Amino acid sequence: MGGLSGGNARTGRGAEEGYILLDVVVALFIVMIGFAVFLGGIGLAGSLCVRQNARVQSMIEQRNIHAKEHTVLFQKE
Amino acid sequence: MRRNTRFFSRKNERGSTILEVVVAMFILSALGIGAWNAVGVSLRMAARMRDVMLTNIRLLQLDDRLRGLAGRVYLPYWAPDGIIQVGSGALSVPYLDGDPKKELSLTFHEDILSISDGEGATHYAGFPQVVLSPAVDDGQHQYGISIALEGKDGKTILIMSRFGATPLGSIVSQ
Repeated sequence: MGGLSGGNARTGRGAEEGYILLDVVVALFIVMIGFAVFLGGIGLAGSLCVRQNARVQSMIEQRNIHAKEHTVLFQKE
Repeated sequence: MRRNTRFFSRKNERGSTILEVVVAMFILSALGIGAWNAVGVSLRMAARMRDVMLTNIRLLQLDDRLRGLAGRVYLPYWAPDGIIQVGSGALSVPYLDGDPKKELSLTFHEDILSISDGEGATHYAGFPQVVLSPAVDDGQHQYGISIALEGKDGKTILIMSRFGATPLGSIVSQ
């Protein structure tokens, strides 16, 4: 992480000058990005699941309507 | 003019004060608790999604199976109205494949819905409440089988399947 923050980790001078805080911030930022991607993936999968659920229900409703109307066609007027 | 605060001043100090450690631990704990809650919510959401998707798959399988079997029921023209036998948690209709000895039967027992054509039964779990009834048209003539399925989320889904033939006794003659 020393390379990312610009501190001199080999000599330890970076830690002395407070760059370690920047290291921690960068590390937390990366973790938060990973976390956001994870949560975004779950959210996207959830929205897809909801859409699939609605599609299944509409499909069954259409089949029900077709079953009912198809029977009516056999009846005499 | 830049002013060094105590937290960032390291010129003449080495290590961290106890106050800095406590504050850092507090911040990390707060972040950790938030992350833990978010992970918990995400896992619950993922489990719920999995349940919903499995329910949808079972629902489509049940829908295909029921409509396929109901389409094999060919009632003769002399078949009376009310030929569908409905009991407590059971429903049966004869004339499967046009044979009066073969019947399509549906039973719901201990949260398991079974659909049988006399040769093999298919079982469907995951529906806490199922209501079996004949499907009737506006003239109260039976034209198929109706299943009302209540899912775990409380939503009710109705499947109405049509027989392969409409009994002539149910046709209004002029």
